[in-house]
Amino acid sequence: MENTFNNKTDKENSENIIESDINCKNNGDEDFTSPKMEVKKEIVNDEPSELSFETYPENSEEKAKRKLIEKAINDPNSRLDTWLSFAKSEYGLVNDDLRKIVWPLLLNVDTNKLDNVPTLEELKNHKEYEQVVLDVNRSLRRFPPGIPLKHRLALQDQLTVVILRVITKYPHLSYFQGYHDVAITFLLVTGDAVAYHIMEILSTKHLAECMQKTFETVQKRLLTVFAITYREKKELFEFLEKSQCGLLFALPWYLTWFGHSLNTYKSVVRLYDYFLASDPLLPLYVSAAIVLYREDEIFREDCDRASLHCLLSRLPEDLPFEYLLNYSQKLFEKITDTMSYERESFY
Amino acid sequence: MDFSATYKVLVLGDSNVGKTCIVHRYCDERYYDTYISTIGIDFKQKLINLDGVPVKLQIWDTAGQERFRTLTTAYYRGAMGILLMYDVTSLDSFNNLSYWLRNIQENAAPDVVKVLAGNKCECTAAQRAVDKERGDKIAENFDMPFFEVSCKQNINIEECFLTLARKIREQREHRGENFDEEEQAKSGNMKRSTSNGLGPFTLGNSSSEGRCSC
Repeated sequence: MENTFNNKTDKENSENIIESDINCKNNGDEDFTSPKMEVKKEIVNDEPSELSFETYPENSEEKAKRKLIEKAINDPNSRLDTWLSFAKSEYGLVNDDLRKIVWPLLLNVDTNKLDNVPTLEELKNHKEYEQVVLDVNRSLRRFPPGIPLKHRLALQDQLTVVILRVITKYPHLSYFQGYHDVAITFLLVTGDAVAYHIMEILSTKHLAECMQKTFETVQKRLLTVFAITYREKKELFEFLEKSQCGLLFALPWYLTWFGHSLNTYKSVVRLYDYFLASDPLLPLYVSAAIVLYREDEIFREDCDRASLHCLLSRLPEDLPFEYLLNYSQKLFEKITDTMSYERESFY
Repeated sequence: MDFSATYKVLVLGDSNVGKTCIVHRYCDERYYDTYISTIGIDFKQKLINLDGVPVKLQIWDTAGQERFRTLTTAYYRGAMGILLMYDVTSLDSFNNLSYWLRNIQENAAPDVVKVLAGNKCECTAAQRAVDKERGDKIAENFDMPFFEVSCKQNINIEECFLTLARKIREQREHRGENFDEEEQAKSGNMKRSTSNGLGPFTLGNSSSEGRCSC
């Protein structure tokens, strides 16, 4: 846990770039070439889109990685670093059976010491109960297709319980629409008892800012996306700024770790592997990486708020996430390095 | 006059009253039983034939949870029309109209056009929590056209948006006339007042509207 969250300074660094560093020159390496998007006008699918749960047979690399992880699970010498490295490297934790074991390990959740699960009845008095139920009832797309109704309803009740347990235990944390999108990802993989402990840790660390009474901090934090864009591709930043499209397109990405916005289940859990092993601000770097990656599409769009909000808020189906995660990590390291270099020179 | 005009419309109201649903129903002519919660703000547009004149309706669909409001107020300022919604089966959503009206007053243009819609009017008598008369009354008090609508059964959806669009058109024509008069009356370098029809919604709205929305 120590390793995962020893990032206070990094966090402060990233915060600083918002205000002080926006005028820095792009001093980064230019050799990070991006696989360019195919030049085509995206067909916008505006329907409440289906989440694809399609599975593919594992390829030879995934198979090799799965075996390594299985071996590590049985090895008493495995440490947090082992899990962090698996979670971040290509293919992440490969499949949900492994995630069920490794996700708790990444957060130091002891699956042998789980609190008793209260009943929904015991939690119903919470003032957010109604709102939580409204959102949970509208989370159908996150469940695998063909799941028996009875089973789904039971899971939805469990989801409500997981959420209410956290906000009941931590009254200073406020529920936000989108929190249910995060919680359901863990519920479906780890079951309700473990999901609660995972959400407890995330809510007091990674998502703590999102759970403040207002979104004021989140609003400022989102500016990181533009700050990174400015550093990496000034013209792109200027184009976006001129359009006044704002940053609300990235709000669900940040609040739900992309769980609300992605179209394939496989990508959702892959990103969650990575985020569990990263600085809490990494989702913002991934957001920036996506914006930078879509540069050509963005420039082809009319420079106005509606067109750009519309383009950006809908994620293309074929985003190369391994590349984007790698790119985000590089952006993160580059920016935090620059910051510590600047601080050293300052002193 | 309104050559290829774009009308910016904002949909407001409590969580789960059917904001996303009405936008889908109107723009895509489809209905889904379950929607996903809107996180932040969503956008759709529709080209309509407004009494023979093509108009582009830009519809911004907002999250209902109160905490999102600070993020969406930038969109209030740009709105020419607001579709305010409640759910006839939820008394809370009706009682909260005063909260939404206050928000509109504080954040939107003073002369923004409003239409009130009470959704889910296909409900049974037992499910209904708000009588139509109560909707009529609040609509009259705040000078808003009012419709009970049903996204599920496609009742009054078109009427709702067309009424809003017509009211926006009237407003603009009215403003345009005032503007011409002022222009003619103007001698020398009189400073252009912000209420003369060139509010932040017309062309060249770059600086007045505030930089970014979040």
